[in-house]
This record gives sequence, structure tokens and C-alpha cells, in this order.
Amino acid sequence: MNKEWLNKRPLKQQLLVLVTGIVVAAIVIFAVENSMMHRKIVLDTYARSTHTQLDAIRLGLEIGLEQEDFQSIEEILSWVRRNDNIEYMMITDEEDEVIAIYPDSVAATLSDIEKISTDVATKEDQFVRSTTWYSDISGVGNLYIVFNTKYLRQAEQQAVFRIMILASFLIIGTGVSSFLIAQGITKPLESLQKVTQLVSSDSLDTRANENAGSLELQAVAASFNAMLDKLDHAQTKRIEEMEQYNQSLEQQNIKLIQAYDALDQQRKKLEEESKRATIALEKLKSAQVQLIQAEKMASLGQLVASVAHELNTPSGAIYSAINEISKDYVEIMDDTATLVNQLSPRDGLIYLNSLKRIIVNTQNLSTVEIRSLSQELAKILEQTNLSNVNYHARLLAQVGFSPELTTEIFPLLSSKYGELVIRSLHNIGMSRIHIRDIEIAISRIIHLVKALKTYSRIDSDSFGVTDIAQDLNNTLIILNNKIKRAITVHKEFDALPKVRCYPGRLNQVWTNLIHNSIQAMKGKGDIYLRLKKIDDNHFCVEVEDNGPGIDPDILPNIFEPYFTTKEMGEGTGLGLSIVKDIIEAHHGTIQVTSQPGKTVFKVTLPISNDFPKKNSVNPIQDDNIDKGQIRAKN
Amino acid sequence: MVGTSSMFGQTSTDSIAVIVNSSIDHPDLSKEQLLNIYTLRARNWKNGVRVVVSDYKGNPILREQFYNYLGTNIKTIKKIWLKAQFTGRITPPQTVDSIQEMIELVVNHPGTIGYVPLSQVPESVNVLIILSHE
Repeated sequence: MNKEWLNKRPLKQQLLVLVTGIVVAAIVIFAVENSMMHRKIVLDTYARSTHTQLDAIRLGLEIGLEQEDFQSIEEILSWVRRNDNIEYMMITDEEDEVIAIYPDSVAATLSDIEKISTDVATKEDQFVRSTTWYSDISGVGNLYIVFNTKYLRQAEQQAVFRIMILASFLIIGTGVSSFLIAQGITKPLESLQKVTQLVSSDSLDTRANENAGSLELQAVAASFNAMLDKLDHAQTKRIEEMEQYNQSLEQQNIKLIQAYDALDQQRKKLEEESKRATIALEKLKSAQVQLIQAEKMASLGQLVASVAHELNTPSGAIYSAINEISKDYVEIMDDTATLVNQLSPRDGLIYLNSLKRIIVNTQNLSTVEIRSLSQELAKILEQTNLSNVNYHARLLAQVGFSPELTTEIFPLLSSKYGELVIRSLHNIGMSRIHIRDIEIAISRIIHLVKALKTYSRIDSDSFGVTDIAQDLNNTLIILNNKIKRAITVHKEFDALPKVRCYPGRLNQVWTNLIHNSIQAMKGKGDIYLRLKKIDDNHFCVEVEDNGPGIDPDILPNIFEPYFTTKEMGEGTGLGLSIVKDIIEAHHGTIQVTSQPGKTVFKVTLPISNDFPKKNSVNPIQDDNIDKGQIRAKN
Repeated sequence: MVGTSSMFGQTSTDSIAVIVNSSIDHPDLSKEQLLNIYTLRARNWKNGVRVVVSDYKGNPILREQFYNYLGTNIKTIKKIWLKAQFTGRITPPQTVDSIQEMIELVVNHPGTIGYVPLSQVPESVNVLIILSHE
């Protein structure tokens, strides 16, 4: 952190901190070392001096007592009193009994002295010295002196204090001098820096002071000035060049302005043209909308034609069947009246019984079956008196009269009313068959109407769920009149969950693709209609035909709008383009592969489209449907 | 010291006169008071002058006899003196080598007390007490 901080400071402060730091460290080390040394020396000296003092006192006391010079003893004692470093003094006799003690205020005994002696290790400011002494009054006794080091300590503290004062002076001195030195180094640098700043703010006239700072810095300033001279010169030259360049630029500028004016006029012309083009484009767009609508109407027209045809066939069948029945019933009424009057009660019962059997029989026999049945019945009828056996056998066979039943009514047939019975049975049977034909026709109409209903319900631009397989079937039903003649549809449907989509639009896709196939095959051939589940969220519908195929040259263009191979006026050319738009609106894809005998359109779609796109073709339709639904509810 | 020994040639039965500088007058000094003075306990005379005790050096018969009269001995007195000196509150005793010296001391220094054989008492001093056998 410290280093970082230091590096960010100006050079002056760095030098100041560095020099002051070194000096302070040196002084501290010196002071500590010095005071420790001092202490050691003083302690040694003091220890030695205490021995000397002890000996001197001992000698003084011994001589003073020997000569009985109490004045000299007094002198020694007064010296002791003056001497602050002697704490206690005590003399004992040969039995170590205390003779005298200094000072008398302290009632010290020998044990106290001994205590002090043992405490020396812990109590540094006192220590005991002792020696033997001799006098006539004491014999060989001891002299104890307790010295203190209090004053030593004071002296030491004074020394440390002096060193500290000295050190403070040194530190201040060093600080000031290093500040001055740093100033001496950095001031020329700062002036150089100021000059460079001025130069960088485009004032090349400024020059650095070449006479400030050390020799090196003066040299730097001088060469910097030389560099500035060169720069100044170069800049003057460049300014001249720039002026020339500016003049030529001005001339060019005038030319450019003229060119711009010309361009502006052209631009205005272009704008006008662009406006005209925009208007034309809008016209085209509206034309396209009209065309799309026309395509829709065209396919609707085809649908209506197809449905009309589909309705026409069973209607015709019903009409002719009803005609037949009414004709039959005239004969039946006549014949029945005759037979009721002429037949015996037994034969009447047999006749009625056979009538019931005929009415109940609903089996529809083919031409081949009728022929073989007719031959079989002819053999039975040969045994009767009937004239035209084969004719009568065919009449019975046409209504599905079995040989067993023929045998049953044999007596009746052999009678003179045989022909009448056969004709009557035939007529009743035929009317039954006609009724069955009506049933079939009506059921076909119901089927178609149902499909149409579903188809029309979903032929809207509303979003919902639908069963694709059912939609494909309905489409096939609606296109049935175009298929049934010579086209076989092979259906291969996988099971598929209901799909979220615009069902009406997808129906348009299926109708378009199947219708295209039918047209491509000129109404003859095989269509393979496949519904495949690809994965959990994708399925595909393939429409394959074995027609002549699409020319490879035009294959890439078939989805382009207005592209058609049909005769003028036959198609809008929008069919496949709309198909592609619808599929892409469902986030699906359409692919086509084609070769003679095999053309496949493959539509791949997601099963659940969660974001319905607002219809773009005709929003008014939805509105109408909504109103219709509301009306229906009411 | 041979010369000096002849000066202390008295017998043990001689009486000893305790003399004091003429500035001091204390006629009825008792033995106990004298002992107090020589054990350095009494420090001033009645008139406030400082007591200066003088004594002989060594162990002459006169000195032994003097302390004998006071019921003590030289060694004990010296111990007492040393002890008193350590306290630092007394005037140290003056010691002399001869009777003549002591007389000069007593005569010339106020407050000084000394002792001489009764026979040698000079005129210019006051005698405080005469010590002799009963």
C-alpha cells in the first residue's frame, strides 16, 4: 500500500520521505545503541566505583578508630551523608552484632540488609557491597553498604533526553535540507514540465530556463529548447503549406458547391419519379390484393362447381328412382288387385310370404351375380309352364330372388298366374331397390353436406384446433367428382393429435395441392396422400402423384406469385404462392421434388402454434362470422 | 609515646578532676550527668554553649580510671561514640595525647570538657566534679 502511495506522489515528496526515513532510522538505531552502550559502561564504572568507595570507607573507619581521630571519622561520615548513592551503611562486630548504622532513621537490621542483597536480582536500583573490617572495639566485623542506582537512572534518562533532542534537531535539519535538495532537483523539472504543458497547448514560443538546476538538468533544458526550435520551424513551414492547401481546397469547394447544386436538381427530379413510382406501387399492391381475392373466388368457384356436381348426381339418382317407383306402383296396384281376386287362400298366403321376403331382402347384386342367379333360376323355371323362362328368371334374379324361395313358390309359378306373380314380385323388389338407391343417394348428400359444413365452418380466418386427417378426408369428399372418375387415392394416415392452426387456410392448402395433382395427371392416375407424425411437435402432409412431373427449368419458380403454366385466364398463378404464404405464416415449410411419374409436395408444420397471426387477407370476414355466431346463439 | 607515659604515672587511687572551660559554670554536676556528657547524649550546656567532649588517646591509666569511676570502660564508650557519630547529630569528641594538651584545649575552647589528675588542675578552668574512690 505504502509503496503504491509513494509512487503516486511527486518526486519531491518521494525524496523527502526517503531521505527523512533513512535519517530517522539511522538516528533511532544510533540512539538506542548508544544509550545501551552508555548504560553498560556507566553500570560497570559504577560497580567498580562502589568497591573503591567501600574500601575507602573501611580504611577511613579503621584508621580513624585506631588513631581515635573522631574528627576524621566525622569527615568520612559527612562525605557518606552527602553521597546520595549510598542508601544504607552498617558496621558489625566479630559476632556480626550491629555496632552502628546509617542513617539512624532506618531501623534496619542485618536481616534487612540480607534481604536487600537477595533482592538485587529483582530490584535493580539497589545493591549491597560488603567487606570485613577491623578495630579494637569490634574485632573482625563486617561493613555493609547498600548503594542505589537511582541517580544513575536519572543520569541515564537525562542522556536519553539529550539524545532525543539532538535527534529531533537532526531530523528537522535533514527534513529541511532534503526538502531543499528535492526542491533543487524538482524545481527545474517542474519548470520543464510547465514549458511542456504550454507547448502541448500550442504555445511554441515558450522556452525552458537553461540556467536552473544541476548541470544535467540544464543540458536537458537546452536540448529541449533546441527541439522546440525545430518544432517551431517545422510548424511555421507546415502552416504555409496548410494555407496553400486551404486555397486549393477553397477552389475545389466552389466546384463542389456547383456540382452539388446540379446533383440537387437531379435529386429533386428523382424524388418526383420516386413519388410516381410509389403511387404506381400502391396501385400494383391494390391490384395484387384484388388478384388474391380473385384467386380465393376462383377456388371457391371450383369448390361450388365440385359440390354442385356432387349434389347433382345423387339428386338425379333420387329423381329417376322416384320416377321408377311411381311407374312400378301403378303396375303393382293392378297386379295385386288381380291376384287378390284370383288366387286361392293358400296360394294367396304363399304370395304374401314371398312378398315379405322380397321387401326384407336388401342385398345389392352385381351384374355377374344377377347373371349366374338368373341361369340357376331358369333351370327351376323350366319345370313350369312358363313361356319365356330366361326373361322371367332374369326378372326374379334382378330383385335377388333366391332359388330356395323360387322352389317354395313353385306351385304358384306353375299355375296360370305364374307370369303375373313374377312380374309383381319383380316390380315390388325393384321399388325396394330404388328406395335403397334413394337411401344411398341421400346418405351421400348428407355426407357431402356434413363435409361442406365442416369445411365451411373452418373456412374462416379464425384460429383454433382441428383434426388434420378429417380435414384431408373432407377435402377429398369435396373434390370427389374430380377424383372418382379415374383417380385412386391411397391414404396413409398416422394418428395425430389435434393441431392448433388456421384450419380454413390449411384446407385451402390441401385443396390447392390435391387439385393441382388432379390437374397435373389430367384426371387419371394415383394420388398418395400421407399424413406423418415426425416428432412430438411436427407433422407433415405429402401429396404425391404419378403424373408427368414438373419441368426442372420451372421447378424453382413454382412458388413465385403470378407464375403459371396454365392457359391465359385459366389460373391466377397465385395458388402455390398463397399456399407458401399460408404455410410460412404457420412457421412451416413446403418442399417439392419432381420427376416424371413421381411428384411430391411435402408440407411440414408444427402441431401447436402458440401465436396466432392476425389475418392479413380480409379482417372483415372474422367480423361477419362473429356476428353470425351471435345470431346463431340467439 | 614513652615520654607521654611518664606523664600518666599516677597511682590508681588518685582523684580525677573534671574540668571545663571557664565560660561554663555548673557546680553541682552529678556522675550521671557526666556520663550523659561522655556518652554524647547531653549536647549543650545550660547557657546554650555546645558541649565538646575531650579525651585521651590510647589506654593510659588515667583514662581507664576515669571511665572506671563512671562505671564503664573505654571500649564501650568508643562504641557508643561511633554509633552516635553514624547518626550524624553529635559533635565528635576531641582526642589528645597529653594532660598538657588537654588543659590547653579546655582553656582555649569554650564549652570544652576534659579531665586531669586533681593535682594538675590549672587555675584558669572550672572544676565540675572530682572523681575519687569512696
